[in-house]
Amino acid sequence: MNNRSREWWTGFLFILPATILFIAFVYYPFAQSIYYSFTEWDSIRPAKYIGLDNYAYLLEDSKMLRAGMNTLLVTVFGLAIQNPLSLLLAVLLNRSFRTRAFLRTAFYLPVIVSLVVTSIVWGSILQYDGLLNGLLERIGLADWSRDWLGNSHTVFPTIIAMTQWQGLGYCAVIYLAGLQSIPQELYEAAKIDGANAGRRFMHVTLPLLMPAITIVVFLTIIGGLKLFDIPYVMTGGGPGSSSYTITLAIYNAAFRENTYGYAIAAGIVLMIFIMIVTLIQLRITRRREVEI
Amino acid sequence: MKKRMTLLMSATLLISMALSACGGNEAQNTATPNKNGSVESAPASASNDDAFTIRIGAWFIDDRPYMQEFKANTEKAYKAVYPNGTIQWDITLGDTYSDKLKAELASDTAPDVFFHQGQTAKFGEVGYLADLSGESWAGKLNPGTKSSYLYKDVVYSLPMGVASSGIWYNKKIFGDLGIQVPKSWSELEKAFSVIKAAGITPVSAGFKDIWTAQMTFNLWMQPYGNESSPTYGKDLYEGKKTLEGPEVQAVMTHLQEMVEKGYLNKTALSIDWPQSAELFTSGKAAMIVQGPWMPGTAKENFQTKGHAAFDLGYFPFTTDKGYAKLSIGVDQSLSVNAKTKLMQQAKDLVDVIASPEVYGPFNVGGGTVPAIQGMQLNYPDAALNDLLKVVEETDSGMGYESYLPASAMTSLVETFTKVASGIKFNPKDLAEAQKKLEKDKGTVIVPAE
Repeated sequence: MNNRSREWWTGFLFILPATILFIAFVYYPFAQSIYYSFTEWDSIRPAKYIGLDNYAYLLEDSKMLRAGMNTLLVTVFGLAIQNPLSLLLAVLLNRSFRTRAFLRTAFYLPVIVSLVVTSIVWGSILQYDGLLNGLLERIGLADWSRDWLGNSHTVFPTIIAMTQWQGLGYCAVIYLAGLQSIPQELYEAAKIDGANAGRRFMHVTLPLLMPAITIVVFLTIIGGLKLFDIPYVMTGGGPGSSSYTITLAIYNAAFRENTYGYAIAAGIVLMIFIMIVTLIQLRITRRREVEI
Repeated sequence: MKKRMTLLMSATLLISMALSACGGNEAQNTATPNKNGSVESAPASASNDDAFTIRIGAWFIDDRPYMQEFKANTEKAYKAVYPNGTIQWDITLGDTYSDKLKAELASDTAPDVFFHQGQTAKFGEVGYLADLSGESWAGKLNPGTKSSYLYKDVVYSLPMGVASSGIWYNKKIFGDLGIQVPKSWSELEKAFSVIKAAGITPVSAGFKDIWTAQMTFNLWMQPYGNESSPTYGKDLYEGKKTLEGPEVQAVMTHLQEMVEKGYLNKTALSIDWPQSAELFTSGKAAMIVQGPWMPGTAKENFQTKGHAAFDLGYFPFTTDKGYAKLSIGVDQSLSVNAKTKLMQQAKDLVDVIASPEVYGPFNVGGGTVPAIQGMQLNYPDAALNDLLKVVEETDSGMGYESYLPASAMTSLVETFTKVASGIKFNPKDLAEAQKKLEKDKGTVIVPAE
């Protein structure tokens, strides 16, 4: 055995344990899942092969389609509101002022508290006889009182608002890190060249912040498309199917309705959709990144 | 078949009722104690000298006094048979238990003995359950509960008791307002109106817990469905009736009327069942739809929450014409893991639980009727005796929902909660449930008749 093949074998032996584990716990279950997505399976009795029926039914299932719309809505709101808002927050928190440390902590706090805990707390605040309606009553807006989570019209906007609030601090921290990596000399040079604050932001900050924007947009898309815990804890998807997200609908199809084959098919479609969307997003945002 | 079941159920209940008037507080043990202190009806297997630990899985054994009593009684009776045996209780409270159990069964790590809910046929079909046909209690089971213990003529489970749920009411409020127990939907509506006018919420609901919404809907559907056909559930399964039909529409329309007139608490969709129970026991609501555990919960609330105690009464859901049909069900079934290494010890544990000194108090505490015939119990709670009297006098049968796939049921409950949230009922919403019924029919195992 020559040196080259000895090196090859050594390398192979080193990666072998990890490869075996990866195949056993990732690829094999994944391959099995693909098979089960073509079956009618209740997880107890043997699976019955039904071809593409599960995939075809996805297009007819009004609950799944509604869940899909809700999921897209959360993602779009994340991109359109949470992202610019967190960038603005990061720019403000990057300035030097007295309460900066306190505010940075305050905005980041919702990120470190368990989502289940925050969902329970918000659930009680938003109840019909909860804190929010009490507050509205005190300031003379009793007519605005409603069961925010028990009303089909208000439940999903309320959940969207909560997800934006919860994710704001996390995105702001990433932007803050990005802002702090931009050399001050560039701003000074732009100032000398006569650029005002707006032009400095557009032509210095934004291009150099593109790596952070890539990460934040990526995380927002993934987070939006995978949203599960907040609606699961706060509403269980109801009332009716008003607050279903795709992941919650998949969970219910599997664990409440025992239609595992169908749930797996929906999961695979979601995975493919996430892959396509993130690939497109990475192509668009990476192209705009600027090396310092 | 239906008549036979009703007859047997009534006979069991009549005996229970007759003896409840003169019995003591504890279950009457008709078995003869043996020299070890156990009873003849309990297993008489050869005791095992080797120490062992036997696992039993459950989802419902919590801090309630009668549950703790059940655990203690089981351990005591099992120790009498196997002095070297230790019971390990694998308890996972809530819905996750069922998923965990399925995973354990599939991976051969399930407890030796386990409780489950309505899975006898499915688990029996795939060989997860041991044959218990030879056990002494197996021949005494109430045929009316056949679907919960039998699959292809083999006894696979011990039903822990027959339960019936319905409308519990505050007798004081009804008495003060001069309301008689409603005998039809229109009488119930009148009662709602009088109660509402008195500034009291007519019905307390906690639909944040999906199971309470599902239970309410199913109890309501049972008379409406069976009034239109005595085999309503089967008709749905066979396509002779549809979930878009007038039966479901009647219930949804009545719910809409209740919401529009403010007969439900405004928090109905954002509170869970314990909160709804508190609303009822505090006297702020006059009625609640719950199971036979409600009197026990009320008693506990009176003691721990400082609510003024009142007497509870019980009546069933009725149709516009005054037809009532109770849904009889088995909440917990007990089975032996077919792959247990402690087969005899496991069967003996089930036998111990089936013995009057363990099984009896469990049924008394939960307000359920024993599924083992001839067991004589005393229900000290007046409210439970009210329930049993209604059960005895009212037509009853297996819930229509036993013929529906879970997906169709979920869809119906979603429409129900949507209407409860104030959205106007749209009959087109029921099309999805019917579609699910047709698509997932293959997941249903038709109940044994």
